[in-house]
Amino acid sequence: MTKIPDLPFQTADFSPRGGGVDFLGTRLVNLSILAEKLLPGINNVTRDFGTYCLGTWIPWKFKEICRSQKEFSPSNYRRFREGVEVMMSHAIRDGSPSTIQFGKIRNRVGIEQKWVLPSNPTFKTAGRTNSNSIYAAPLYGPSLQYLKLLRGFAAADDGTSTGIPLANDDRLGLLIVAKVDECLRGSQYYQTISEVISRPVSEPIVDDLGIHGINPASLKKAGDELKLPFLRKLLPKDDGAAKGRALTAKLVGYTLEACGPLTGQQFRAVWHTGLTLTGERLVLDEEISHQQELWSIFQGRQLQRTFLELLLHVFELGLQEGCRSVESITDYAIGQWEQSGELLPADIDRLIRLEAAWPEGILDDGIASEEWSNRVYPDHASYDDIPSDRLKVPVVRAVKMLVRWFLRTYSWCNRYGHHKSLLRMGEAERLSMSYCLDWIDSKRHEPFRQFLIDIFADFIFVQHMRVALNRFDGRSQRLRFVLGDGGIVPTLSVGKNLGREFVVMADRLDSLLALLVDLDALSEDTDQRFYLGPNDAQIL
Amino acid sequence: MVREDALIIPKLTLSEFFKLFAPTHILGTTYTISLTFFESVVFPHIKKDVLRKCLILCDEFGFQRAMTEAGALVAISSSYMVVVPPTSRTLHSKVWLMVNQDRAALLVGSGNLTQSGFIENNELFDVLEISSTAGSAMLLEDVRLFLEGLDVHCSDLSKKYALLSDFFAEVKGICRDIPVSAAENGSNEVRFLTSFHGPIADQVAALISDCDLYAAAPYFGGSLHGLNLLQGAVRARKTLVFPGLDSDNTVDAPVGELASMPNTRICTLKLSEAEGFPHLKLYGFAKPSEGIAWLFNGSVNCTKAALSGENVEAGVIRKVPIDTLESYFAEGAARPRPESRPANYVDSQETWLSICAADLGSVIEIVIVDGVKFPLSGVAVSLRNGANRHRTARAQMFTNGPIERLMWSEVCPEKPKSGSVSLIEFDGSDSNGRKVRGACYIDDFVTLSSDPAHRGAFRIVLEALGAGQEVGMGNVAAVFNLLDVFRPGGFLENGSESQKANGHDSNDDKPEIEKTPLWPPVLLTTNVSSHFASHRFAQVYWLQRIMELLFSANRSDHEQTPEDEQEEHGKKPQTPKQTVNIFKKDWKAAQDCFEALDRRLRGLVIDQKTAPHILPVALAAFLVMLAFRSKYQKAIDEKHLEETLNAILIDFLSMLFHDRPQGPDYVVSGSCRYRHKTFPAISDDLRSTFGVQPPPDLCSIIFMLFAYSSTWVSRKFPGKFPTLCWLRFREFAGTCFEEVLSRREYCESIFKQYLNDEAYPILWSEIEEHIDSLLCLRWENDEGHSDLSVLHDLALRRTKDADLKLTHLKDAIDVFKRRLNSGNHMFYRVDRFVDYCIASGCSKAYVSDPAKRKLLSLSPVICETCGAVLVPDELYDIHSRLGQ
Repeated sequence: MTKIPDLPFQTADFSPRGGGVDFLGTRLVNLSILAEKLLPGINNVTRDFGTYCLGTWIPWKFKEICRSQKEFSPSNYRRFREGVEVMMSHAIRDGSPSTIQFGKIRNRVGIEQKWVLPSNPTFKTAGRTNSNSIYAAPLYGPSLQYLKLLRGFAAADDGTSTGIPLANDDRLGLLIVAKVDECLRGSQYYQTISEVISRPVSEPIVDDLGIHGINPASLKKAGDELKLPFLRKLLPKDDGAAKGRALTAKLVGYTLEACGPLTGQQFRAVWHTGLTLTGERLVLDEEISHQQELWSIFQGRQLQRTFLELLLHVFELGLQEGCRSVESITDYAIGQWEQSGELLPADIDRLIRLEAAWPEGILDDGIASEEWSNRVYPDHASYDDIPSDRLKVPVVRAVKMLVRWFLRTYSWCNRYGHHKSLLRMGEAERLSMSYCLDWIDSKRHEPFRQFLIDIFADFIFVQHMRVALNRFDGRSQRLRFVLGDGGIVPTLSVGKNLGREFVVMADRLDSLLALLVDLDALSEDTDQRFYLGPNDAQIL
Repeated sequence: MVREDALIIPKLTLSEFFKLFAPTHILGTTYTISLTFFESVVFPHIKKDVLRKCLILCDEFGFQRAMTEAGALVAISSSYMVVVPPTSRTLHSKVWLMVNQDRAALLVGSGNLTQSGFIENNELFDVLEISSTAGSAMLLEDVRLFLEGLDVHCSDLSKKYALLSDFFAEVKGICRDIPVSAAENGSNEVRFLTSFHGPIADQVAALISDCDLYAAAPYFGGSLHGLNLLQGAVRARKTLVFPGLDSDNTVDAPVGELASMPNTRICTLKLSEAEGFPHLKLYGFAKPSEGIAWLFNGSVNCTKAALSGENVEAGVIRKVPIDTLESYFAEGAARPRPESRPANYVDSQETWLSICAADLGSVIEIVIVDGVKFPLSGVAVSLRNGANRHRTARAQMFTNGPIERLMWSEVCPEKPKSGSVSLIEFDGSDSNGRKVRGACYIDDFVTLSSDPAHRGAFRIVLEALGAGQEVGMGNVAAVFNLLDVFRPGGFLENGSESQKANGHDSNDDKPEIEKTPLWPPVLLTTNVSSHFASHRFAQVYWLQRIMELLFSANRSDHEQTPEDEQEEHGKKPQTPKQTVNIFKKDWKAAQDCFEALDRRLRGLVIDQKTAPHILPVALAAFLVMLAFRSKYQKAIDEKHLEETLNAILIDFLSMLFHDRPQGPDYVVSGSCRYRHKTFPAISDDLRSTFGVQPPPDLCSIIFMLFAYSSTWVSRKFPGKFPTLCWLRFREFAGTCFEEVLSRREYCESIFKQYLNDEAYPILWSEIEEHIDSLLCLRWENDEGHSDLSVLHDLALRRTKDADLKLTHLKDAIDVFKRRLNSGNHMFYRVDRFVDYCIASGCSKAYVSDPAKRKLLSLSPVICETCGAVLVPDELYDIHSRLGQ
């Protein structure tokens, strides 16, 4: 124990280290919609179908090469898995023969490993840990199970789990592993794979195996024999759990039919507005239309998070400038607004009218909102999502986004009455869409300065502190500011991260699109626009 | 000339003070305050194992400013209290007192309870310890005086507010009894001086005078009155003033006047050159010729209010060697002469009311300081709870004096959920028309008055559910103790048969329990204090709270997990090894405790008294164990635990729904209600003997366990589905089964909170998908039931050809047909625990036969001797009910 001095002493920092994301606690609602309704079972890093295939093949192959109960042991499996994974990561390095031949995969797991060849390929020799194994939770691990490519773990004789995964031995699963195995058999070093547990491996071996399948990119050339079974796993027709994934894939297909080539960002905007890039209504059959509505609500929530996080950014910039109260931060924000050359509104109501371009006195909220929803399409100059290069001053951008969000979302309570639970999801604690709409509505005639004070106080200052305190686990401090002697001060743990820019939550759509491209359901041009591909029948 | 340097001034994190020992009581005083800082940075360092009460007294200025944080706070009102003393004196002291029966420790300094005061500013603190090996009787007396002073200050409130008066009574009592080091008795070389002892200047002068004066302070109150007062009191021969300067080189003192004072010099304090605003207040008094020096450090600015006793101030004065004093007052690099700036006065037009409020169940009791002209009129009442604000107006309040009771429903549409923080504010006029305003947090009376062990149990359940703030601060066994599984007189206590056999069945020794309102939870109403004095009541109260927490499973933040961040970064934040070990230990402890419960329930002879409690207690204990398992599994890389979640579920379900075979040594006793070596299933006994109808929420939880297991099996994960348990559950749930099916949202929340095996991920949508197929699993599809129907049809000559599924029946069908042709009675309802035939005329009637043990698995058995069909009682009843 530290000795307490018997004289007056100065103090030293003992605040916990900083960390975390989602400082306003609004992310969980978005994540829930995404994980349960839109794209369950995949995540933002599961972008390569080849990696999925190898992730399925590894446990299958291990079971195949084991000849006895003794060989089929967890430690042997670990060594086998690590061996194959280390070879995979070596095969996908820049400039490897297979990378030159097949191009790079999108998510190169383990690329930073330090493996000196020839040697035994193990995580230890490669300086890796299980956290960057493809089976790790944030990578492909759970997804392999959700897609039912793996069916669980081998049981031990006492009924407990061995931890050795078992590939799904249904028809599709077997087709996948058989095709991967067939590709690998094309390598003269195929037998080496079975000996990977005990044998050092040299670079020519890995490179040759890379060309024949150990590099996941090479499996893209395996053809429909591999791709179609995988597509059926990715987009099963009769699996309730994965229905959201299949419906979103269909939505992708039908949207492309209706709109022509689109980028990922354009998909989002089209689904958000329900309008094509040129403003026509997107007509879809009932089931797909329902999925589009869910995406619309999700995008609405994403935009809500964006303007709230932008306001947090403004708040922190104010702190950086030495402001120490909500009022002085508001004055700082107003100063920024005035410097931007934008007209300072008297109140939010005025700004709403201005944005809606609606004559004074005629505004009916419901009609204005419907009108906005009908006429502001993705490529419209007033589209809700304002990029930072169009409006550089964060407070102006945030407030204008808030106003546009309000204009579109106001009518959703009627339009999307059947999705009421989603609009309410998160309630006051997580600033649900309904709560936020009502809040803005109740303050729209307040003087603009007071509106900003209230929004900074309620949605930023207190909301952040509540979330940070609720999440505090005694180790990692998520508080970014607290009250000090002289007012609000940044916490010591936030350090240089104060005023950092907000990154929009990734929504897995890029992963789905990438997988559909790998599987030839879509194709992609160099401008990252997507078209229907040779296997488009699978998503139409 | 002061020496440049000599001693290195020590530096310490204040967390070390709070980690000194486990206190029973903590008292803090501060001028400004940040409660978010306290909850997130300071409070986690306090050892709470035996902490009974923690009180922070704050000046009204600091409190009002900190009200902006109200919506964010988590622990205030249930783990600690904040009170603004009803006094016109500024509460400026920064003192922290921790006590337990053996010792006391004081942290006294210049820093407020804010990040600035505890970490960022350049502050000085001093720690004093009092115990059998440290401190002195005089020091303890100083502490008592300070406590007495604060108590008197708060008396206008505390005489009406038990939580406050109890706190002072308890702390003063403890301080009276702390053993003091005999060696130090009478020593006055270290003293704790406060304004309650008299003006600070006079107290210092009593220790030393006719000396050189060193004064380092950031505030002078815009004049030199304070300095002059001190100079006069100690008859300063020369004075060195070290003003703590603002970043713009200013100080709130008339610098010109100061510079022209005789024998006075303005200096730069080397100590002030450290990072941060020099907020320290340090005074030195030296008689170099006699080698005597004193250092005084604390909250005392060089103002008249501070030194004359107008404010509440505190500091520690120590006798030190001259060179130590000189080290503290070493001069820094010369700086330009500081500029004067006006003093900051906080002047309010309205009167601030000191208020306390306690949550007494359906009522909030508000106590307002005496001296206000009652009643208040035109009162705007506002309640803040998290993100919610509710406002109401009342024409008059406090019409009968300083205590007012408001129903929760009068201030908000729905009472905030248990454990959440509420701030209540009043704004109105007193009977003289004077504007008055006040606010306070609504104290959770019961929690704040409860036993630390109970609070600890609650805290660790919160932690296990991912809603707690601290790791490793609770004791898992405390939860199970609270569930009363082990202690004599507990809810499940009536003695198992095996205990009775071992002579432990001494009902006479047990305290009579008359009231155990365990389920469903009831709201506390008035007169809580007297109820709570009873340990039994407290236990039931905490048990209810824990159950409420476990069974509601809707902690708003339970999904704010690191996974939430994983996807953002694409990698998993590592849980420190030490934390993982704590989680592992907790999980193992929970397992052990649960196994003990399991053993106990398997041997339990249920009676009228225990029957209502078994299900809630067992389920709560099981959920606690699942929560710890999940927490541990989340923290580790290797997700495979020895036992799968499904295996654990099946064990638990078997415990409730399977018949309970006793050990080989068990002998059926004459007094036991059960007449066999196998006890009936708990569910069966509860339903058929005691008529227990499980409430829908508990049924929903059990239903979810089955739904999970069914999905698990459908995913071909290792394990099996406990079909018989499921069929018995449907019987047990009875009429509330339909209600369970309508509670999908609740079931989903239960699933998300507890049913997560990371090695075998299952989505809620998969569960939903399997519910329909689960519902199709009925008695009608059971092999035993179906074969009984076939035998029935055969007996009624409805069918000629037996379509039996069970081999043992097929094998004996000829004997059955012979008996049928003879016209004898065919079907006998038998106790499923027997292994013999009871048919009249059977030559082997009542002769034990292993082949008949199939009755136990609810299968009909054809007696191979006489051809009679023996139907296990449970199956017989179900078959009859279903109209076959």
